[in-house]
Amino acid sequence: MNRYLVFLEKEITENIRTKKLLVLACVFLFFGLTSPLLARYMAELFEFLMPAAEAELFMMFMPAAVWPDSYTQFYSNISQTGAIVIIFMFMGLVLREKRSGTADLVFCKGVSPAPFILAKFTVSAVVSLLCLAVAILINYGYTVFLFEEGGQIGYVLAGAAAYGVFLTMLISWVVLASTLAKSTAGSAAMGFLGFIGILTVGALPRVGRFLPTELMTNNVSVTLGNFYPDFAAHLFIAAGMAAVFLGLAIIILKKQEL
Amino acid sequence: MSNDNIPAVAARNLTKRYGTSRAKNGALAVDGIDITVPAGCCCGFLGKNGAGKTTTIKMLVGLKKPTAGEISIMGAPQVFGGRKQLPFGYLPDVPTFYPYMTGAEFLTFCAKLCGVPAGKRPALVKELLDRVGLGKARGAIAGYSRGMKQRLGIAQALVNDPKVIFMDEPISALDPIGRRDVADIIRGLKAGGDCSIIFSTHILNDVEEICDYVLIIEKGRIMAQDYLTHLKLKYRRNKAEIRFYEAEAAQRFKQAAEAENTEILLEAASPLSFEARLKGDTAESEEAFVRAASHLSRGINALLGKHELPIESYTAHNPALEEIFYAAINPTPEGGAL
Repeated sequence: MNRYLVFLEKEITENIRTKKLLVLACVFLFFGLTSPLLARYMAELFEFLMPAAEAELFMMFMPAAVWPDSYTQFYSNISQTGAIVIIFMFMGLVLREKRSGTADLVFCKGVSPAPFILAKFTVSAVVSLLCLAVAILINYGYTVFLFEEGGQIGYVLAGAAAYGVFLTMLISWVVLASTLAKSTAGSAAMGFLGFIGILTVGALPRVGRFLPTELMTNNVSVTLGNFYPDFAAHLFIAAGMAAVFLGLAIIILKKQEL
Repeated sequence: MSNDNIPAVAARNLTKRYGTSRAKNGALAVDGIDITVPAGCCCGFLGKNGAGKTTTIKMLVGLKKPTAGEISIMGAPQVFGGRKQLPFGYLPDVPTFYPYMTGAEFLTFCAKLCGVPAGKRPALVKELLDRVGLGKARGAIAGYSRGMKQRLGIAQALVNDPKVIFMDEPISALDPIGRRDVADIIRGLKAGGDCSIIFSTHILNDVEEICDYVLIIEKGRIMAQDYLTHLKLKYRRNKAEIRFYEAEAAQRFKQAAEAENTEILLEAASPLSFEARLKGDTAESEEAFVRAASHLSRGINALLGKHELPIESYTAHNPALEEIFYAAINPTPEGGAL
């Protein structure tokens, strides 16, 4: 049996039995369910919570809720929180095996680091993308239910796919951080610094367009069918970054002593 | 070279230096050691805590990169980072497993990694679990005791039908029952004769009971390596213990020896026994040793016969591993000890 498939099977089992999949699914589903509700009833919520006089003033300036608000709410909720949850969930992917000694038992059997790393990345990415897909579909269905319109499903999925590609790139970075770091805190710090670095540099004029940050920050316009000019380039850049991070993780793990 | 002559493990000039500076304290963990462990033997790798046992074993199994030196296992070169599956199994000092798996699932996972065909896996896993006494263990590994984990660790080391098994302190940290169980498993492996066993420990009794070959390491240097029987011959001393039934006979013997045979030195070990040796005996060669031993026993026999003194026992010196170990790690300037 191909060793990549052996590790794949083991990682799937681990994600199910250690409840990682459940936790991730709960976080994404929470945003998928609550975002349309918040978007639809935001005005009523403020009216209920604020003093009557202020609420009346607020309602005068509050535009009526429309279906795109549902996606604005979804992405503003999930984009950073989802990324942070991903970093927390996967920061120990490689590190934990090295520190606990399970990696010793695996690598003394003549196993190459490539299937080990790639299986961890594959399952983490697939699990995250599945949760995201379910969340966006629920968000779409609920939006249609509450607003009687939810946009074109193709564009809705494209907007989520953009965020999914960004998350996949982020997971590859977390895998690299987990391979390099010698402690959980170090791995978490590297994961967060990388994430903040991509956001910061991505926001800079001129240089920013060479990083795929907009895949995370510009999803609503994609959902509305307005693909920004660098969209395709950013997909390729994110895929390239993921390949580089994973390649580095494999090379580094091969040279590391256990 | 025939297969019979290929050592199970051979290492030449094996060195491990942590850090880059020679001046750094404790930087040199393994200091250019040469090891040859013959195939088919059970080798005890002895050393104090911090002597370099774990570092050496981790280099031998390819988990640590030697600073210098060469390693071969059953004649095949062991290269750090090389991913060729060599015919060995490895049990780390504190084996850790995926806690959510059962023992059978973990062994199946290992069997898949080692390329065991799907049709053979269930039987292999059952055989290994039975062999280490985990055939009836149920539930996830998270619920296993330390002894059970150690036994599962041995089972996973056997998955690829290895020719050599490395075990790092497999017994030291276990309770008496766990120690007995794991020692029995190692004895069983030894009796099977299919593979060579190398296990590190700082507990001398374990080695004396189980092993037939010994490596002694101290401060990163190999101080002795040979078959245990050879080491016992090498470190034996020309002395004997004479034990009497009665204290009076013992006293008469001492007086007779002092008066009639000035070559024999007696040292009282108890009111009923003496340690006897020849004065000025420094015989190092085998021939000189046998001659001196014979001279000593003849001299004592003559005295006993002449004075008609009955003895309970006459025991020529046979060094315990403890004596060998201390002599090896504290060598005298003459190269001898004890």
